[in-house]
Amino acid sequence: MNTLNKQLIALNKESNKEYNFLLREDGKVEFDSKILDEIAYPIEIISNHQNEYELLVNGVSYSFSVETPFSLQRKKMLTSQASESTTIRLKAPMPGKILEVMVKTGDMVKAGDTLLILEAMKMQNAILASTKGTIKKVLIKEGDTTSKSDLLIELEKEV
Amino acid sequence: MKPKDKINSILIANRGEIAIRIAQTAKKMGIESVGIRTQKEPNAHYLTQMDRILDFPEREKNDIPEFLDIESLVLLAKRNKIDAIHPGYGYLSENAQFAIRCTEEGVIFIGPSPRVIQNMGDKVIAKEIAAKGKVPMLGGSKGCVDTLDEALEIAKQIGYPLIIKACAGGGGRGMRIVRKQSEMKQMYFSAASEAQSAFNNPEVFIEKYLENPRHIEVQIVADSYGNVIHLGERECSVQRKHQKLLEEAPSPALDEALRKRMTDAAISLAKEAGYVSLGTVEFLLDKDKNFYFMEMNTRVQVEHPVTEMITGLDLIELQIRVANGEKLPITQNDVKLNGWAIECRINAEDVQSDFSPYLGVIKALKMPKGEGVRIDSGVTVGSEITPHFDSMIAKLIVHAKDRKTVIENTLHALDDFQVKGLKTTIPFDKAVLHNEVFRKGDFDTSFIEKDMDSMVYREKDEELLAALFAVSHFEKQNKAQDCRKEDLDLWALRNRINNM
Repeated sequence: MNTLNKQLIALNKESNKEYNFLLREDGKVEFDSKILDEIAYPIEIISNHQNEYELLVNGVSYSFSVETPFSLQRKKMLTSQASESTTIRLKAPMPGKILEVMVKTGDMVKAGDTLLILEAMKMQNAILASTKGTIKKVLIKEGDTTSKSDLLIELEKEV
Repeated sequence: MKPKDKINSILIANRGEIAIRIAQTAKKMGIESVGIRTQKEPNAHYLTQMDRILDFPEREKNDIPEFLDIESLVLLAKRNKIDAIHPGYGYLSENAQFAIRCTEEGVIFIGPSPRVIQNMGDKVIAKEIAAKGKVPMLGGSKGCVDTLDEALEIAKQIGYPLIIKACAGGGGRGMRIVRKQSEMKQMYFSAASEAQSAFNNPEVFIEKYLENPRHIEVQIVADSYGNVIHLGERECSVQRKHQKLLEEAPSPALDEALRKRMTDAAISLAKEAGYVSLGTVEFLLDKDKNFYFMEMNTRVQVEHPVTEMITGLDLIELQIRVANGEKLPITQNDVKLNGWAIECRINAEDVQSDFSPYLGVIKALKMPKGEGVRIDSGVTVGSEITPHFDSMIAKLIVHAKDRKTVIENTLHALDDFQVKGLKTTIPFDKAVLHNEVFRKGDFDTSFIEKDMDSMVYREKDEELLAALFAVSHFEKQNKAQDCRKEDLDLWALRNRINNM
C-alpha cells in the first residue's frame, strides 16, 4: 500500500455500518464490495455540513458521516461517553405549530406519556416521552412555530 | 325545459392538482376556467393552467384560510359574473352553508343540493337514510356528541374498540380509535380540537370499530331526472392513519356477485337520499365479505382517476353536466369496466421519518410518460412545498389490461418519476407494489402496519452508492480547500458532540 493512499470511511449514522474506501494516489477509489456495474440511480445530496451527509438514492435517504480512521476512533470514544449521559434532547420530528404543552419543568413522566401536541399540515401529532424521567427544561410554549429538529424538551432519564 | 348552457364559466375554489384537473375538463367543454390567486402562493403552478385569474379579495385580518372563506369566495364569483363554483375536494366541497350561499347569490354550486350535503354530512341522518335504503351498518352514537360525558356514556353502551370521527369531516382528520376507557378522555379532546381546526366544528360521532376491514368505495353519479348509475368500485385499503396512499380499481376483493350487491346498495342509498351529482359511497368490508356503510362523500374524490381510467369517462364532466341540469349522457349498460388502474399519491413526505411533511423547493422534475400513464400534478420545477397546504403534490395513475401488468407498469413509471430537492412517497409506493401480500391482493387497512417490513423499497447496492458518493464529495471539497490551513473549529466540534 502506497503511503499516499488515503483511507476514508463512510459511517451510516442509523445502522453504524462502515464503508471503507481507499482513495488511491492515481485518483481512483477502491472499496470493499463488489463493483457497481452499470448502475444509474438518481442520487442527490440533500444536506451536507462539514463531514455529515444526507443523500437520496432513488428517493431513499441515507445519512453518513465521512471519517478518517483517526476521526472515527475519536467519534467512537465520544459516543461511548455520550451514551452515559442521562439527558434526552427531544427534537421536533417535523416543522409545525405547538398546539398544546402538557408538561412543565419538574414534572415526572413515564414512557408513552404525551408531552405536547404538534400540529403539522393540519394533522395533530402527539409527541410522547420515550422513557421514564423528569422534565428538565421546556424550550417551547403553546403557539410557537417550530422547524424540523428544533429542540423542544429536555428529559432527564431516570436511572 | 332545461336551460341550455347555463354554465359558461367556473370559479375553481381550490388549488394544486385538482384545480388543474377541473380546468382541463372546463377547457374541453368550452367553459372558461377561473383560478384564484392567494398571497400564500401567488406564483403557484395551477394558476398557469387557468383561462383567467382573480386575486383573492383583500379582507380584514382573518385567520380563515382563503379556500375556506365562504363569503369572500361566493362574492368573488358574483362580482365577476362567474356562472358556477367548483369546490374540488377538501376545503368547502362538503360544506352545505357554502352551497346555500352560492345558490342565494345566483351562483351554481357544482355538487349536490345543500340539503343532501347536510344530510350526508350529518352522520346520524346519513345512517337513517342508509337504513331506509336497506344498506347494512355498524352500531354507534345516535347523534353528534359535544361533551366528554356524553362520549363516555356512549362508549359504555357500545364497548371498545370504538372510533371517534369528526361530524363535519373526512380525510382522516379528527378521527381517533379508542381501545380502552383510559384513553377516552385524551382521544376525545384531541379529535374534537382537530375537527375544530380542520372543519370549524368540534362535534364528533362515535361508532363501533371494526378491526382491520377493507376500505372499498363505490362511485355513483345521478342526474336530476332520476337516473342513478354506478361506475364500479375503488379499493382504498392501503392507508396510513386513515390517509389513503395508493388506490386501485377494480378491487381484488370483489367478485361479480359481491360487486353487484355493493353497487346496488350504493345506488339504493343515493336514490333514498335524493342524490343529484357525482358522489362516493364508502364501505367497510370484513373478512367474511360482509360490508357496512361508512359514509357518503358528496364531492369528487382524490382517487377519481382510477375510475376514469377503467371506464373511459370524465367524472368532472359528468359532474358539471349534472350541475348544468343536463341528463346523464350514459346509462348503466354503457358503463364497461376495462382492465385495471392504480393511483400512487406522490406526497412531499419523509417516509423514513414517520411520513412527516417535507418542506422544500423542487429543483428538478422528471415524470414518466407512455401508454396508460397519466399524471395529475400540481407542481413544476421551482414549486415550493410550504406548511400552508397538504403534502400531496401529484398523482401517478397507470392503466393496463390486468392487475399483474398494471403493477409492473406502475413500478416502471415510478422508476422514471424523479423529484429533486424533496423527499417523496415514491420509495414507499415502490415498496407497496413489490410487497407479496399486496401483489396477491389479500390485504386490508392494517396492511402498512402488519405486512410491510420496510416503508421504502431499496435497490441493490443503493447504500454503497450513497456511501461512495459522500466520500468522493467530501474528498473533492477537501482538495478544493487544501490551500487553506484547517483550523480546529470549536463550534463545529461542539455541535458534533451535541449531535450524538
